Amino acid sequence: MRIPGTSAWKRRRFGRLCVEVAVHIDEIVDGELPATRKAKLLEKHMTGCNSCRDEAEVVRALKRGIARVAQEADPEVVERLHKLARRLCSGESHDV
Amino acid sequence: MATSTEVDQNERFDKLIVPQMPFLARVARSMSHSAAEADDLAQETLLKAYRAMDRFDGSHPKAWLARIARNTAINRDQRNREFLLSEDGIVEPEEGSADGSDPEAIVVDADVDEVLRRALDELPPAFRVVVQLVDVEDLSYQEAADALEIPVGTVMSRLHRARRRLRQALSGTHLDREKQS
Repeated sequence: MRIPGTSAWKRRRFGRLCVEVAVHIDEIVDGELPATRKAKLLEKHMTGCNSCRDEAEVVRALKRGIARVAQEADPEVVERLHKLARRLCSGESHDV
Repeated sequence: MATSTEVDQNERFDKLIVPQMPFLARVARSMSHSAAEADDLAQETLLKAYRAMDRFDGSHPKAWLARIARNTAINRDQRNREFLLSEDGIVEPEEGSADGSDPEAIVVDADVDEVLRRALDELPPAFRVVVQLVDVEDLSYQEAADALEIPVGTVMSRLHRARRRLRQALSGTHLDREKQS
């Protein structure tokens, strides 16, 4: 039996929280974890756990990378859309 | 001569939808297998959006456009239907396999963008569009779920699996470089 407050109890609890962070890492990084007691617990855990902070940083870095490479819209497609929008607004919608 | 209602609709279209053209181009690309297909999808979506302006309440134009694009895509052919509705298509990394867990490798390496771009292209559209909506367009899980007409849990699961797949792709590149040096 593990006694609350002892170092063995803290290690075991810390490990369980790491697993919880891993399960919810996307929601944590995306700011989508509902503000519950559990969320506060995980947030507190992450301030003291390098491994969980690193995991969150990996997901953040990935998000930044995705945003960087997928932000660009094909300018020709955008131009054609603008042309179509102008035609529609000028009353040519029935011809399209 | 345009009626006052038509003028009003055109003004709403111009104000709410026209600024979203880059968004529409990106989302159509994320739902398509090729640039040509994306171009057609974007144009058809815009046309449908224009014709449905009187039924649009004006809130969340991005989510509204994405929903029209999604419905248009799955109605176009069976292939799109399968890809946009399917839960399959991503091979899960094996347990213990490298998963791109070095943040520096992701943000610093010069060719990472190219690898990431290719890995995104290789994702099935059902997964790629969720990544696009959440990570690029900043939609919430709920907004993405509404736009794609899927449960929030499906958004979360597709996002998680897609990110794992992307991390794995990045990690492979990093390891390859280490092997060469």
